[in-house]
This record gives sequence, structure tokens and C-alpha cells, in this order.
Amino acid sequence: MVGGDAPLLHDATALADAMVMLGLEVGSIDSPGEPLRDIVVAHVTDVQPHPNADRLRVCQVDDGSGTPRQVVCGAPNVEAGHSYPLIRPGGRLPGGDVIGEAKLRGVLSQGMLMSARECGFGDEHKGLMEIVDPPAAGTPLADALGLHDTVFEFELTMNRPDCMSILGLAREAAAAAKVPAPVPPAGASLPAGEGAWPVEIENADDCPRYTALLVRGVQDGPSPAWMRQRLEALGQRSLGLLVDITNYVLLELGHPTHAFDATTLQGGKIVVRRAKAGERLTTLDGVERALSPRDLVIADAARPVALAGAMGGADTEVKPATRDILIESAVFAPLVVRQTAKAHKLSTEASKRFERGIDPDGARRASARVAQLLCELAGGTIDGAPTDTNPVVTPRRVAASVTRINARLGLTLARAEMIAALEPFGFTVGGDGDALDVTVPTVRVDVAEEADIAEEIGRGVGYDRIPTTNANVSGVTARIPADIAARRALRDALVGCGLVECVSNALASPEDAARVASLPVGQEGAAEPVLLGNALGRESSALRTSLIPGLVRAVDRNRRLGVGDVRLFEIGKVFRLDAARELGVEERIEAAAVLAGHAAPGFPGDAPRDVALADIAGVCETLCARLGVDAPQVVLRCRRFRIGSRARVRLGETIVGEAWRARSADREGARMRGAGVRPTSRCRGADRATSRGACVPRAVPLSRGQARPRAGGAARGAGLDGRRRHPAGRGRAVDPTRTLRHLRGPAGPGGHAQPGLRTHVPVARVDPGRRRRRDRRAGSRAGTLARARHRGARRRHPLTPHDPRIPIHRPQKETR
Amino acid sequence: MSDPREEIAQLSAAGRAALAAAPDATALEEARVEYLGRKSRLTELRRAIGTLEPALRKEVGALANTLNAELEAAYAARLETLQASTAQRPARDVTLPGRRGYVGSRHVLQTVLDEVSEIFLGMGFTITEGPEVEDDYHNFEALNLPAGHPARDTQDTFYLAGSDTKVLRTQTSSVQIRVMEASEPPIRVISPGRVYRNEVVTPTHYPEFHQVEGLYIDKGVSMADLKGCLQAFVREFFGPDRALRLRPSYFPFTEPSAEVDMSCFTCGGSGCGLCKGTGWIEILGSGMVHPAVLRHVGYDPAVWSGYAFGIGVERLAMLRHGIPDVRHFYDNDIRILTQFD
Repeated sequence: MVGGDAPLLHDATALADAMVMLGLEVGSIDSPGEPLRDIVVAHVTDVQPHPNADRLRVCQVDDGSGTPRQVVCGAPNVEAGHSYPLIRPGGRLPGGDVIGEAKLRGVLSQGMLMSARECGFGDEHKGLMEIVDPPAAGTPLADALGLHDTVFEFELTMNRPDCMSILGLAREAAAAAKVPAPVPPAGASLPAGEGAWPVEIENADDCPRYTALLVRGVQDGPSPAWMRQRLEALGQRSLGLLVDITNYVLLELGHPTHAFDATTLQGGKIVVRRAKAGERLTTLDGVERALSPRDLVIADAARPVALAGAMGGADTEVKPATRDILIESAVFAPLVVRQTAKAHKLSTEASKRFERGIDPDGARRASARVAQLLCELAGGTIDGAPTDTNPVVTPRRVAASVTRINARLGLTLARAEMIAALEPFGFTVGGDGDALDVTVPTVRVDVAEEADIAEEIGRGVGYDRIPTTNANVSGVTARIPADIAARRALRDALVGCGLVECVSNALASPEDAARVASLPVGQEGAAEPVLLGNALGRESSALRTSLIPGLVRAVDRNRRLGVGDVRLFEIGKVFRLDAARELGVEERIEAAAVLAGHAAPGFPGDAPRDVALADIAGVCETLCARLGVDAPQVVLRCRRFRIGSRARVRLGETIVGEAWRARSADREGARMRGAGVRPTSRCRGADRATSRGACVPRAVPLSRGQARPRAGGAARGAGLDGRRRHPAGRGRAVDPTRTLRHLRGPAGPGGHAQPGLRTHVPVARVDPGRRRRRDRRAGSRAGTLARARHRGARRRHPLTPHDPRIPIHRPQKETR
Repeated sequence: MSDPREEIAQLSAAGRAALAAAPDATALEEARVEYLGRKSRLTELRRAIGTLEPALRKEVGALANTLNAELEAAYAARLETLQASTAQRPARDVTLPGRRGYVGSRHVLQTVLDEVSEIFLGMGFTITEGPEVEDDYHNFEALNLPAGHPARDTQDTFYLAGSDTKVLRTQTSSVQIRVMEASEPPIRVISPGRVYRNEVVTPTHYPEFHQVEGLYIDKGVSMADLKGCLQAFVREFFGPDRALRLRPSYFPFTEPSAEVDMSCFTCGGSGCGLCKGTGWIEILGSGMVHPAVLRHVGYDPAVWSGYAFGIGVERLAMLRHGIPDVRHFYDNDIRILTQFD
């Protein structure tokens, strides 16, 4: 169909690449004839028994070369006068093997006659593949079978319904190959005059155009081979000439048409209207459908006869006995067709095209093409002029500017280059100077404004022309926002505790919410889960209200896999219904951790110890210490800690989490400990990212009498912020109570304290809001320092060393 | 009789010296009997305290107690030293493994996301997050996907029970709208997060996955800027030899739209199994923000322009780490989780 020739059009791979660069992704390239290139049609002229073998025969074949060829054949069905596929010596079988000349039981065989399986078609291997209606001997088999075409499968984007046809793709291929645009088949020449078949349209918005054309005296029968072969190459079965013609034109031109058996239409007219409540229609697929005013139907004088744009009715369909055909070729509103297709779960070749948008100018062309084929192939004659409710289609015009398009694409194209890029796609350009007055081809329903024109020009010149610039060097300072920084700090701390991060599904079972109701993290009462209306299954029909079920499942899975010590955490969103929120859903980031198995990796001579409550409590405390929350404020109040019971993790007055222990989830009855902790933006990571100084921990000089840390402690690398740095990296926090002991330490040499930097700064670890308020009062950093010093001095005595295993209780007042 | 105080001082010196110098356990025991035993001079002195003048009793008593404690301490210290040196323990095997702690790790999606964030932070993008439960307006309509738009079919959407407007977002692009509603241009932001599609699980499809949305709105932003930004990203993330290719595509909220391909890193562009013989690997979708989107949020498309892109985090991780199956990300198998951080 392409209106010219170019090397690109003969190289499937190169053409595919070019189409891809036009935005038409190629899913596959299939050349079914390619493996058959060495196989020809051969005519068997004589068959004689083999002198030395019962089952073999010696055939003389005509391979079109003029010289008879002798082939030894073992097939039972070889007969003189018939045609079969032949491969000559030196040829390559579809499987890749090369055939040679050979003597079979002493008789020369110059080639091989082939079965269907040997040709690569199915499993038939009982005898030779006979070619009916054979072409001249020597014709390549691929041509004889109509397999000489290369079939490209395109993965089209939604905006290109114009490419849902051979014509549309040929248009793009012609542009790629820089040859003239294809000329669509002219179709039958239609008589002029008043439309012969009356058409009423209830609402032109639903159906902007309807054409009807009557063809009489058709005779159904088998479709010609070329039509069958093309339909089959495109994945459609041949269903008889009358049906094939409309299908063929759909694929060829992209415009759906429908053929009614004209004699079944009552009242001699077509009405395009919305269905009335209670009307029913049995469609071509045999399904009786209840219609509603949502559905646009084609009706005759009495009843609906087709679902517009989706499927015809069974009563009026074309049958082998049909003689008179009314060809419908129309344009229906995309939304209307979509509604009907969705409601009736009817996605057809026609509805797909109407939904995406169809060329309004294509209606009459498709009708004429169908009429032409009906006349030429089925013996019909056109009866009267076509009815056309809207024969004049005005193409859309878009105003664009050379400057703005160049600015959008980052190019510096001249006006002439832009026009040269647009014209192969069928656009015509007027205007002058900077103005481009672009007339859009009617088939391009996706092109509506300047930005679309920019894309067309980009496609035309090639996106490869667009240079690489970097406008990204600017004065903008981008920093990680506080909440994300807090999460990172929390994650680092958990990783530092030797925990492995998980990501579990947010889609969960609604029962999970009830299961964890006894373990609300930082909240009292059960969270009501957010349920989905169209879930994949019960187990994924709600959004999780807690991270805990995912973690418990992960522990279970890993232990089944044979991993003994499982230490996991997750930081992620949980969801609950909350009418007070936008969309009625609260989304919150939570963190949770779980330990199972041993408390420490094995070491020769060490008695293995199972994880205990103190281990998960230790994780909580380490987190708080790492995050700069005043660690001694964490109170793990452990009241009668039984199976299923839980302990609260307090941060001062605020409950930030719960620790629990569970045993049930673990098959082997191994002990499992878990804790949930809600991260708070009051942590230091957040402060660092957002503050402009107010909350950055500052070194505070020691007051007299307060010891600096033991030399050993400091030498091991105390940071200025007081947390000893583990050589393995940050995030390895030190037990807060040990830090306290370091603070106090024994008296230095000489019996009294040395002045120096104090490395642990509890006063810096207060609510940043409070801190800021205080700083405002103080008005200066000096004020803060003075207060800190004062507080440090006051605090000297209450700081006592603790056994690190004992949770430290400290009254809230201490932080003030 | 000499002054008991002097004698105590002498005993202290002599006793500590004797105890400290004892060469072995026997000698130490002899020294203990001599200085701390029942017949030792110290015991005699303490017994005799009662016979002293009252003024001296208290002082001598205290001194005797101190001496006793000193000697006990000296004995204990020496005993420990001797035991330590003579204990029959095998030579320390320095080749034994050490006493280790557990090693934690971040999830591979997180390490990839962190790295992506770092790269875009370096290019001046800030980070914003948005809700995962969205309304139809932000997820579709404002993104130029009005009701009935056929492209909605390509995103199988989860709806909340009893609602046809509340959805689980199908793309992080919804955050574009929220950011533009909330702030004035210029805007330069990335938005990472989880998105949902109602699809059955396969090795390449999962109903939940992660995206990073990018949005840049300013005056005079061009597609060349988009290409530059993405090329910088791809080279930072996949290495300096990667070439970038933009090819026309379609997203309702960008015009022109482009799929972004990267030259294949296993074959270098000559064609292999990973790139299906094309030499290119599709890595993300992008385009110039559609004027209709700008109009929806009240920006004048004649003044402002910009680009947007969406990156699949799982896809990046699969490509870079050779992870064959998207299910590995959510299976939480420790043996896999710990491989990538």
C-alpha cells in the first residue's frame, strides 16, 4: 500500500527500528516464509518401485528447472500427477539441517519430498504434504502458501487509534522510509444523489456520522486465497466471504463497518437512538442482553438490531443465504461505545477503535471499499446512492509557534524543517513567520494543541536530534525533609542493632486487623481496616493496620527455610479508617522489629541463650539513644509479662510503642520477641536536616567537679555528640547506661575533675519545640549554654551507674 | 613493749612485701599463715588491744583493721596472679573466629531508593511524599485522564470498598498534582512511594510496587533539559558508559512523551538476551508536562513548562542486581534480603 519504494521497506529489522523511533513499539517480527526459502513446489511425473527396497519408491519430479530430477521417497501417499514440497541438495531444512545428494539402497536421490512436519507445520508426518491447486513447479513454497509476508506485531499506545490498521501503519512506514504517503484503495464509485436508505439520528453527539449503503444480489462462498492468507496472518479465521469482507476492510482501513442482511430490517429505515428500558437484543455471540438508556443502539422501525460500535444483532446478521446487504459505516462517540462495551463486557475489534477515536472522514471510504469487494468478489450490485448524515468533515486546525515549539523541544529548528517534519504525517502547514497554522489530518484524533504538534515535529526530526542540556545547576539547595531523615536515622539505628530490613505487602487480610487488635502500636483500641472493593482475593482485600503480621509471617517463613536466628524490622505505612482525615483514611509510618532464635551468634564455649524481653527492650533503648531522644526516658514497664501480654514503651509521658512476645506463630515453638516503636520527628536525624542551628547538639563545657569520660572510653572514639563511634560504622549505638557511667567515671589523676568537653549532652535532647521556645526566651546561644551548664551541674548527683540490663526509670520531671 | 602503731606500720610493709614476693602457691600460703593466720603477730596485736590505754585503743584498732584489709587484698591479688600464671589452660588459639554480633542490612528497594534520592538531591530535587489512598481527581482526572479515557484501562485500579472515587494510587504521578496545588513554581521534586495495580502476581508483575516520580516546573524548561537530567541520573546509577535514548511514546499527562532507553550494560549495545537483541533497555517513562495538567492546577502553560518522569524502583533493582523475579522483593527471605546492602 506504501506509495513508493525504499531500501528500508525491504529490511524488516531496520524498518522495525525506524517504527520504534516513531513511537510504534514492535512486539515481534514474524516471517513465516523465511524457514521455507529453500523449499519449492515440485510436480511428481512418475513413480516406480525401488529395486532394492519394498517401502521406498523412485520418483521423477519436475522442479521447474527443465531437467527431471530423481528423488527416492518412502512416503506411502506419493502419487504421480500430484505436487509436493521439495528441497534440493544444498538446501536448508526449517530445522537448520542441510540436505545433500545421497544414494538410498543404491539409487541416487537428488533431494527430498517433504511432509508437513518437515516443513515446520504441525505434527503431520504420515505422508507427504500435498499441495492442492498447485502453482507452477519451482514456485517457492512460501509463495504457494501465501507466507511470503513479514508480519510485524505492534504494541500501540492508546493515543494512536489511527495506527490500528494496515493503512495507518503504512502511513507511518512511508514517513519513516521517506517515500510518498500510501494511497488507500479507492473503493467502488458510489452514485450521487439522495440517500436511498433513510437514517434517523436521535442525537448527533452520540453518532456524529452514519452512512448506509445497499448492495444487492451478493452470493456468499469461500474467500479468495489472498484474503484468507492475510486474515490468517493477522490472527483471524476465515468465516466466509461476506463476513470476511467487513473484517478485511476493518484491518485494512481501520474503520469498522457492519453488514446487515437488508431483508431482515423492518420498516426500511435505520434509527440510531438510545435503548429504551426493557428492550432486549441477542447479539452475534448468541448472548441475549438487557439494554438500558445507557446503550446506543441501531434500530430498524421496530426494534434494536445492533449495539452501536460494539456488536451486531443475531437476527439481522449476514448468513450464507443473504442476498441483500446494508453496509453500515458510522462514527460513534467514544464515551458512549465505551460505556456499552464496559457494561456488557464486550470488547471487540470495533469497540476498541471507536473508544479510542476514529477518523470521521473514513466512514465513506470504508463503505465504498466494502461495496467494491462485495461487487467484485460476491457478485453484488450497488443499489442507489449511499445515505450519509454528515458528509462534510472539517479538519481541525491548530495554531502553533516556531519559537515555542523549539523551546519545548530544546531545539533550534527553522520553520522549513518543522514543515518538512510534519508533512510526511499528513499535516499541512500554513501561516507565516513564527506562526504555524497546522491543519491536522482527520485520522489524527489525538492531535489537538501545540504541545501535540511539538511531539509530531519531534517524531519527524527524530528524538535523537534533541540535545542534552543540563539546567539543573541552580541556586536551589535540596535537602532531605525531616520526616524522611528521621526514617533514615531510625533505619540506620535498626540496621546497627543487627536487624535485617523487610518489605511486606500493604495488601493484607482484613482478619489481620483483628488479630493485632491486642497489639496496637502506640494506640489504644482496634484500628478499623481500609477495605478494597475489587480485591484479588480475601487475603489481600484490606490495607494493613499494623506491620506486625507481616513480620511474624516473615519470621515463620524464614524459620521454615531453616534460618535459625531471625532479626527483622520494617518501616512502612499502615492504614486505618478515620473519618476526620482527607478521604477518610489515616496513613501513618510505623516501625516494628522482631527477634527470634538466639540472643547472640554462637561462639565456642558460650552457652546459647534465647532472645528475651531484655533483648528487644535493648533494641528500643538503643534506638532512642541513637535518635537523640533522651534514652533514660524510655520506660519499658513490664507488668506480668506473659504470653500474649505486652509492655509499653514510654517516652516520657508518651507511649511510643509496645513490646510483646509471641509464641504461637512459630511452629517449632521457638521463642519470638517483637516490639513496635513509632518513630518520632523529634529525633535528632530530623533536627539535623531541618534546623538552622536551633536543635543541633552543641558541645557543652563540663562544670567543675564533673569528670570527663575515662581515658579508654574517649580513646575508643567518642564523638562530640557523646555517642561512641563503633569502628564498624555509624549506627552502632552504645548502651545509654554505659555512657552514663563513662560520664561519671572515676576521678582523674590528682583526685579532682579535669575541665574539658563533656561528651554526653542530655540537655540537648529535649523536645525541639520546647528547645526553640526556650531559645527564644534566652535570645542567644550563650543563654542556652549557660542554662545547659547550670543544668549539668545540677544533674551531677542524680546520675548513677546502672546495671545495663535494668531498665532505667526516671521521672519525667528530670528533662525539664 | 614497743608502740603498736609502729609495729603495725612495719607489719604492713613486711607483710605486703612477703605476700607480693611469694614465688608460688605454697610460699604464698606460708606467708598468709605468718601474717594473717591465727598465730600471726597481727592477731596477737588485735587481741592485745584491750590491754592498751583507752586513748590508744581506738586508733590502734582502726590501724589493725586497715592492716588486715591491706594484707587480705595483697594476698588475694597475689593468689590471682599466681593462679592465672599457673593455670593449666591450653594455649590461646588465635585462629578461632571472633565473637561477633549480628549484622543488619537495609532492604534492596531501600538501598536503590536511597541512591536514587541522593542523585536527584544532588541535582537540586527535593523529596515529597503523597498519600497511597487517593481520589480519582489526583490519580486520574487532573493528570489528563478524565472519566472514560481509554488509557485508564491500562492501569488496573483498586477501588476502596463502597466507593468509585477512592482508589489506591496507580502511579506516583498523583503527587505531581498535590505538589503543584500546594506550591508556586518553580518546583523541582521527586516523590518516591508505593503504588498499586490490580494484577495477578507473575515474575514481572506484582500488585504493589514502587515508583519515583520526578517533576520540574520552571520557565523555559525544554525536553533537552529532561534528557540532560535523565542522562546524568542513568550515568550516576548505572555507570558512565551508558548511553541514553528517548523514543516517542504516550502518557496522558505528558506531551511530548518519551520512553527512555539505556544502552544495554551486558552487551554494550550489540544485542543480547537481556535487551532482547535490541541493544537497548527500557528503564523509565518521561515527557514534558501536558498543558492540560498545568491548567488543572492553575499554572499558565504559556509561562510555565516542565518535565516529569517516573522510574520503577523494582525495575532498577532487578536490572542492577540481576534479580530475576519481582516476588523476591516481598518474600522477605533473609538469605536474599542480606545480599544487597
